Amino acid sequence: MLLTVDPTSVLPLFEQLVTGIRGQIIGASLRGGERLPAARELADSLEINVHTVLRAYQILRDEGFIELRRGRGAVVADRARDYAQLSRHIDRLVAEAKKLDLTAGALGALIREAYEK
Amino acid sequence: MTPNYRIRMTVVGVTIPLLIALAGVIAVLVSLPQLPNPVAVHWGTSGAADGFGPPWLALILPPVVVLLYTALVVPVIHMTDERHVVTANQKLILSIASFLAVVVTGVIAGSTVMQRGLADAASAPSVVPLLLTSFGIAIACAWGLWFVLPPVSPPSDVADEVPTLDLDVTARGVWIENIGPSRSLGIVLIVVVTAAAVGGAVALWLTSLFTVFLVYAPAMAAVVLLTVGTVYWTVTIDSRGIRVVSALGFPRFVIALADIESGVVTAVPPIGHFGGWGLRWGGRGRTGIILRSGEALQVKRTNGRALVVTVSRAATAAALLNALARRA
Repeated sequence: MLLTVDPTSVLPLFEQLVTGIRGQIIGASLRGGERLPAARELADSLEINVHTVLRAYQILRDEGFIELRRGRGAVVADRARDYAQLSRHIDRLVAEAKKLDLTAGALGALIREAYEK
Repeated sequence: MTPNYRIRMTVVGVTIPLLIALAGVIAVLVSLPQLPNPVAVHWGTSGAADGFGPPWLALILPPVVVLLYTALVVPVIHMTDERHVVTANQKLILSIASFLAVVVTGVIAGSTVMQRGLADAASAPSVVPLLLTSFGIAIACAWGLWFVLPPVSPPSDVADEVPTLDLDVTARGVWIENIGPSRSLGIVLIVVVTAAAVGGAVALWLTSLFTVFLVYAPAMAAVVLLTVGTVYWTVTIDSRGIRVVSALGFPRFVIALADIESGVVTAVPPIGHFGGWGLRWGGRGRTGIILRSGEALQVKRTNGRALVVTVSRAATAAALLNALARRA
């Protein structure tokens, strides 16, 4: 699992973690049942606070992407969801948005608006 | 590998050891009518026989041991990479086959044949001269056959591309992967450990010696620990460098970023390059943690040595390692 964070980014660190891990689950490079590193290890490696990692893990659990089990740590949820179709749609969506010179923020806002309809 | 090479490797690794075992079987069969029953199967430090068993043991044990080893040797001959490389590891495994065949046949079949004509096996002579002769012949045999085998191919490095990724100066990155044995390796390990357990249990039953149990129980525990300790690892790459730590916490390999020249993706034929699976030394300063064939991360150190680990996404790992190393 590859994760990068940038403390100087406008995005909070926990959100960067959530985005990174969620992306890899949807992109199928993290599979159901795979164990995520212990929060302590990840925090040490990225030189961030362990509570930041725990917060990211909790959000991912609330979104149903991972399961947090006492003693076993964080495990990618085994929901057998196939995100391949969604990934392809997103690729197409982004390509189209770029063609129309829409920023990521603008595309995000459009998606959020469509969600709330 | 050229067909000629394969024939030479088969003759040394399979044909000759099997012929040696066969010779032992014939020798025991011929002397079977004149053997005492039971025969002496163990000798004490004084030189006198102190353990006895049925003669058929000497008939089947050597061929079984040699056949088991031959079963290991056959894939060693056939599993090699497409560049026709013959490694020292392969040659060692193949020449040990004849060493093993001579020792097992010489000691087990030889010590039995030696008792031909004795009325009582308790008067069997000392086996020390036989042991020494067997080992001498075995070493000479293995040494001679080494030169019958094809020469070790000169190492040829594949053109290594050095992948990297964009990492802002302020960004931090981590790459973590838990690695374990491939399915086929897992099956082999289970079979081997089970065979060792059953073999030990049979030996215990045959000898019913408490001392055997004293050796056997710790040996089995060591086998299980060694297996777990060398097939489950966690690989971490971060701003400190790379750490490859066994599931038991030891052994561990740690290389600081400052000592890393680059990370590259390499293809590993386990037997061809490392002589097998697990924690391995591949020659030319290469340490390998080899759990399956195929893609692996090769970390080149500034001192010329290298660490090779079979991870599933080696390109990503190498890219992060190079990005971090360049910045360090």
